[in-house]
Amino acid sequence: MISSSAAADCLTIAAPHAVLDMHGKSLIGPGSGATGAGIHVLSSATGAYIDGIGAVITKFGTGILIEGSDVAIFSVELIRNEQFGLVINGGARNALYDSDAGSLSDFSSGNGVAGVMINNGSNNFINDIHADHNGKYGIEVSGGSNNHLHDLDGDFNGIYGLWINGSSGNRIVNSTGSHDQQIGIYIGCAPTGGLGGVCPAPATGSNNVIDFGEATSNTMNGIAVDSSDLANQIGLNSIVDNGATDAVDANANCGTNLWFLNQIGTAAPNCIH
Amino acid sequence: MLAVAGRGTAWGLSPCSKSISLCGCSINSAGVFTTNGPLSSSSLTDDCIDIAGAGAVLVLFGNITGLGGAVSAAGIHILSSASNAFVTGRNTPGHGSHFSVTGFAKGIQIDASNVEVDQRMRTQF
Repeated sequence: MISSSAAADCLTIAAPHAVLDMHGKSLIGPGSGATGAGIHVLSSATGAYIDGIGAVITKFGTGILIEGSDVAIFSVELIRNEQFGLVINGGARNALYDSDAGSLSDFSSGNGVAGVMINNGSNNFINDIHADHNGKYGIEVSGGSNNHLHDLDGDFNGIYGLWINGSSGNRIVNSTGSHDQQIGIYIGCAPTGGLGGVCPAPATGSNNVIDFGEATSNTMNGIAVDSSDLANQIGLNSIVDNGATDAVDANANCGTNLWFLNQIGTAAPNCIH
Repeated sequence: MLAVAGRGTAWGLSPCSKSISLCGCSINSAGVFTTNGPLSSSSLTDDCIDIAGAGAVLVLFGNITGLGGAVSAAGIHILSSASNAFVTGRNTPGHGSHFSVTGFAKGIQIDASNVEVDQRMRTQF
């Protein structure tokens, strides 16, 4: 299906528990200047399901926009959208499995801003996806709490691979933030620049867990935690070969952040282990 | 949540040291705690390790083994006060083996919210 409208959504799902089987068919938007969504799941569509095996959603403003809860999406390519691959806007318990929001092997597959954006969502589950080669971020979690990000690749992105922005209680497990232009995994509120960067909307995050991940070969830091982001647990990650200090914490003596059993090339301050 | 558990801190388990060498202690604060090798419990009723401190981290460096049979205790009991606790049976980054908790009524009992128990291998690719 091809959309010629820059602003309109291609498909809207409004019914609870609706099932959309894409049968491998792609949705293609108009490209430059597009603001609409390929699929827009409204807040009324609780429990909707999208089977995207073999399907590509591309050249929209956002590939899939979810405003409901308990929505599940399986195996879809969300690539080359003007802003985002997937946006979860305020929903809870939504899930995206086995998908690409920017592909590792295709350098031009990224979305303009981010592969996945969770905005003020809670208890959402993003599992086994690539979010690579996006314009700014692989995955951005802004506000909200207790989202679960497992087995993700956030590599080769324009600014950060995985960004926790003023959000608490999130779990980043078995995931990578490598080869990104600034920082692999960043907890803080600066949209660019990492530690000490300007925060247009100052916010802090706490009780986040980053474990069993990799943050290597980023231009600046591998993992960075900004000031006043506290009580986070960062353990058992491989954080090496980055352009600047591999692991950094802007809080004096790491505050209440716990860094443990990481494999680190260089770190500052020395409370990072 | 579960009616029958080990006696845990209600029976006054002593505080764990940062490096845990014996069963029968309680982690009461945030911080990183490790076992320093295999642990074997000799009690049918006392949990091997209780976690009461919010945000505490426990990393295993060996198996934890209970008595089996009529045991009512848990290997690791994460009490309701221990929100955001983190427990792992694997102690190195990347791929590797992990340790086990066996021979208890419950291997790990979680009564708290937002607890992470993780020993998974990376499954992508």
